[in-house]
Amino acid sequence: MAARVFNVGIDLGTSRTVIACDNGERSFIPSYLGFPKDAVSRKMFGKDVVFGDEALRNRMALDIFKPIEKGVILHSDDPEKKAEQYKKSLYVARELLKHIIQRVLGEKQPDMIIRGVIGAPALATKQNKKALLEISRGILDDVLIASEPFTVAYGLNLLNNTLIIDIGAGTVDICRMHGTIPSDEDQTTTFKAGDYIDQVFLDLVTKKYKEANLTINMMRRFKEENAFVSERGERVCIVLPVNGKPTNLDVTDELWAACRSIVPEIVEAVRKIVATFDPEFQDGLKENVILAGGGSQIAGLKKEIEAHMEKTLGYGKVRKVEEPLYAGANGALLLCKDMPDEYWDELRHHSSVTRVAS
Amino acid sequence: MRYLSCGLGAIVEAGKYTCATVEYTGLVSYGALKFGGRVVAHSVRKVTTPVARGITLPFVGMKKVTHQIFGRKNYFDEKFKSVDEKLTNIEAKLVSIENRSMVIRSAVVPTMTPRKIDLGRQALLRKIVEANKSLIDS
Repeated sequence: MAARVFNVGIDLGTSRTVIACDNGERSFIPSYLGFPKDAVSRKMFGKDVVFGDEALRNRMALDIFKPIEKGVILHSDDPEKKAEQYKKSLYVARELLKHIIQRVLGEKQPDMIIRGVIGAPALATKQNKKALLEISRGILDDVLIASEPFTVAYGLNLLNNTLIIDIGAGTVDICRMHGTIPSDEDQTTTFKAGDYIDQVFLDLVTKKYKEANLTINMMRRFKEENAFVSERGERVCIVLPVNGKPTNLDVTDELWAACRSIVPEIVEAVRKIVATFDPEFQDGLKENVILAGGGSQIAGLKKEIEAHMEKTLGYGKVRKVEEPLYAGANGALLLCKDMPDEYWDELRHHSSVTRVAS
Repeated sequence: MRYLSCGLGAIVEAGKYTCATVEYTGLVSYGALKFGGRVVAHSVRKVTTPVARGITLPFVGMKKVTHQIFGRKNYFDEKFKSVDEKLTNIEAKLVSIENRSMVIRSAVVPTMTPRKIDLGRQALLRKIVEANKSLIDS
């Protein structure tokens, strides 16, 4: 019986894990897992692992795990130092990967070959990338790791003279494309991203409304719907319990300040990436700045970056991708599909030889 | 019976009779003409009406159809509006479903045939493979 090949593009993000498959299906789940705390909760859920939104909704009855932090698998920077925690992170991330693949492909059949490209942050270390290879073993038959901003550029077919700014929850990846695989000099990562905004927002609101009861999840949900950096706009109010009573609180200034807190690092990184590029091609780069990732949805961010670029670099034209959530996974899927069969075979052969040798 | 007298009175009387005669003759002629005209008009109408009906019948039919389509106020506007509303609702539902991280199944299953890759793209893919091989080796 001929094998059926399925290609998947995966973006294992700090906040959300996103998948796109060439059978026409795509999905995402929050990168959270929960294990029932005791026999009662296990009975209630009727399963041993709860994923995504369901886990977040029932977090009081679950031990919650978030296996990805700052774009990489937790503790993968130093696996020897925290061996136990690293092992747990690998297990949890593996379960997450298995679950999201099952969502789009169903149970793996013997005649199925699943090929995948997984995105990794621009400056992920070899250990970070190896951890991704590790979790995919046995789930994906063939796997490739590619830089996330590169997959975004590949998906948009913008491989030359383009600057990608991918704003995620854990990292902001900035990468210049010049017709080849970006090297470390072409990319940079800053860690003031979506999670940082949430924390700043929480701190500011707590400082202003000391008696309000709030959590980081409440702040995140509110931010995802209302984030802005523009100077003028409507007042934004959040309903928070104050001593148990729902109260309407004005958080306009706090949200604005929190969202703006990531801008200086981004524009400085953009300035560096442009300024260190070949001067003959700098204009082309400034002309083609692409804003991707969930953070690109912050209202007014595009104009803010353009204004900073004008101030520091003389000019800048920024565009937002159409599907910020799926841009990385779509690009990874396209890369996976474009990869010739012989390259996959070569990689599989190389992988098995290395495994036998070690 | 009146006797005609000579003189001016007789002349006036004769003139009056002449006028009455001419008037009567005119009335008789008018009546004859009117009657004749009626007969002719009736015959002409009898002949021409079916012909005219035959000629105009397709146009009457066309008028009825066009009236049905265009005559109703904002017929197309209403139809387009309802279709547009339905599409907007479907799109909103899809977005809401997708936001709840449900799987969206495409109506059209994409073809599995690979794209034609040019040499430049092949070289790029080769580099990715090499980078991954060195990652496995490390």
